[in-house]
Amino acid sequence: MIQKDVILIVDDDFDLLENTAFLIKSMGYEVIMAQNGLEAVEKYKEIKPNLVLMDVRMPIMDGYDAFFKIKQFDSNAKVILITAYAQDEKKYLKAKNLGLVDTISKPYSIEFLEEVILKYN
Amino acid sequence: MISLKLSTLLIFGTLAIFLTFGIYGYYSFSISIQEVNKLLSSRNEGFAFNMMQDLDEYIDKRIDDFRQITKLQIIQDSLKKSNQEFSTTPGIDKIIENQDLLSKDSNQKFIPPNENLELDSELSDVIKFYKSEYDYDVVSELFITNAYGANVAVGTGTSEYRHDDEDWWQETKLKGIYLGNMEYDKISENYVAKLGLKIEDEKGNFLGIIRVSLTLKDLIHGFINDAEILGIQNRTIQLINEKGQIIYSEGFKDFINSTPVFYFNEIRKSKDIGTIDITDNPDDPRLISYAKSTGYKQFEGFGWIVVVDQTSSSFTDEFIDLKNSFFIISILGMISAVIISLILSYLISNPLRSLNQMAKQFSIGNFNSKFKGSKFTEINTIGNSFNLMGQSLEKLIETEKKLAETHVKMKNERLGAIGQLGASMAHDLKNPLATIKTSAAIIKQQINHDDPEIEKAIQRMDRSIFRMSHQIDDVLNFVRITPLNLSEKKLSDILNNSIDSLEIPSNINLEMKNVGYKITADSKKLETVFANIILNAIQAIGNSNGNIIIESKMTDENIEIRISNSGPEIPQKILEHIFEPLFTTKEKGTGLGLSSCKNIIEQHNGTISAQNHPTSFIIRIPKYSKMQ
Repeated sequence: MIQKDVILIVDDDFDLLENTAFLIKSMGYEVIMAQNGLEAVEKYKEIKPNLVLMDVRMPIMDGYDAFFKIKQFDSNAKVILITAYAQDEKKYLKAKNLGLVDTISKPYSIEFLEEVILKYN
Repeated sequence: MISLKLSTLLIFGTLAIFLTFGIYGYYSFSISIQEVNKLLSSRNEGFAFNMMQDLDEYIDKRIDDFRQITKLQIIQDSLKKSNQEFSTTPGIDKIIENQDLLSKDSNQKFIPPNENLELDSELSDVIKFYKSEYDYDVVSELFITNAYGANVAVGTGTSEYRHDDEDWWQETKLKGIYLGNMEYDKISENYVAKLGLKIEDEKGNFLGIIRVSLTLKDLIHGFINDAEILGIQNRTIQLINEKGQIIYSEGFKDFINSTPVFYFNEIRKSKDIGTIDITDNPDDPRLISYAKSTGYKQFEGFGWIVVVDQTSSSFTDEFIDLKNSFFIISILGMISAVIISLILSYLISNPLRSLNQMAKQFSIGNFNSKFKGSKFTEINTIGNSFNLMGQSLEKLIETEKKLAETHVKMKNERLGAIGQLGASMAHDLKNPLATIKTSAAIIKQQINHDDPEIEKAIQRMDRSIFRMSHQIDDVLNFVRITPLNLSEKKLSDILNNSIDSLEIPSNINLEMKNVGYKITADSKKLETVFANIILNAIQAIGNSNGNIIIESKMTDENIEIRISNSGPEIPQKILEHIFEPLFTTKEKGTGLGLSSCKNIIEQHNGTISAQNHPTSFIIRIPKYSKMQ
């Protein structure tokens, strides 16, 4: 049996998280979820997913900081940040330098999600 | 046009004036001096000529006086008697033949004395008459010889008895008159000229000779009177003799051994009347006007010359002084012209320069500079006006600035509040919206697509979600101006991306022409701009059939993108405000879409404008210029 690609999705909005997880699962990926940055970092270290889709604005630890931690742990990590806007310019530029794969904005369509995942996975 | 410095103009102008003044003065005075010299020369020549004439006439008159004496009866009778005696004296011829021997002993009597006491006293009376008449010796010697040359009467002087062996006696006998040159007579201590006159009877027979020594004093006494009258300071009347020696010059001169005047040679060579101009001599400039004696009637003249010696100082000094003072005035004038011009230009140009500086400062918005003041009231007036203008401008600009600042502040405050609200709304709405959108996607996957009503409902839901997200984007685009992320992309790619994000209704035909250019811009932002404009066009066309045409062209500096649609025209009132934020005619609109577009295009240093016929939006973005 072929090992399914694992995708970590992170969002503090649980409804959206579950919807997104459902849609990505239906595309044929294995999905794990986290509700804040800290949890995302822990899950990443534990599971090492192929791709991370992470919201920026989150409690406890935001998406950028979580990205930096993940990159510290695994410099090859592929992370896509979900952002309404590049709200923090400095962090955004730093993230780009560290190899941030892409950003997508909410609300994303299922077609767009599939396209992005296929592109970077 | 050549621009002249005020100071240069002043300097050259005044220099020219003074130079003209100086040159004109110098030449006109030079000419005046020459004219005055001519005038003086001819006047002095006139003096000299008249005096010479008078002198010659006077001498002639003296000669005539004595000629009259020869006609006195007593003289005629005495001589006839004496000649009779001689002619009857035996051996007279022998005596005459031996005259040479006799002449060696001048004291020897020629013949026995012919004492004629009556005649003697007569001659003495003549001498006395003259002496009493003139109060000086007119005659220093007076005697009469008979036809044989023997003294018959002696008035004064000679004691010689025989004169026929003397040249003057022979010449008188021959020519009727003898007049010797002036010579010094030791006995009378006088300069005298010897005059011999032939005495004839009424039939013209030779009777004898009268000899007179005329004194110089008498001959020139009339001349002296004239000379004293005419001789003034700087003008001397002189009488010089045939050898060029001065006989008279402000008094008698003992001329017998004196040297000739230095200009005598020149006079001798020249004509009878003339002027020797030696005004060129800087030490002693003079005009020597002269008239040579030409004689008068029977008097042939002594060859004397009357000279009027005019030292030029009297008439030229003042002219020369004037001429020189013209020069000095001119030079002083020129020097002072330069100084005054420099001072004037300093006093005028400097304030003007500082006024110019002030104007320049004003033009760059610096109103602090103050006019420092000048010596001239007029310039001060201008300066004060400048100061006032500066103050007024400063106040005006200050007021305008404050007003503008107030406007901006008000606007910013308003927009700031909207921005904050927008940002928080975006965050708050985007998540639920994303949830709805994903939920809709899940439902679409799960439901039966055969039911058209459900299908329609899902489409309506999709459109609503799109609209909501688009409006949220509008707000965020407007509120958050992020730096440009420039890259070179094909215009067609950017346009296609933006069209992909929209749903073009089937009733609208979208056409792209000539959009293959590459453009350096923030493609994401341009996508937003195009999407906004195309969406507006779609909404304007509505449900009827219509066209949207996108075309572009390159100009020298810009790339121009024109998006036109076949929808209704935009009313003029709306056109004026179409890019202002919060201005909207649509119930569905935020009023931020086109305003955001304008912000983005301006961020690219470009322009965006709207026009009718057909309804179009025109975007111009510079090809090369640096973008903000």
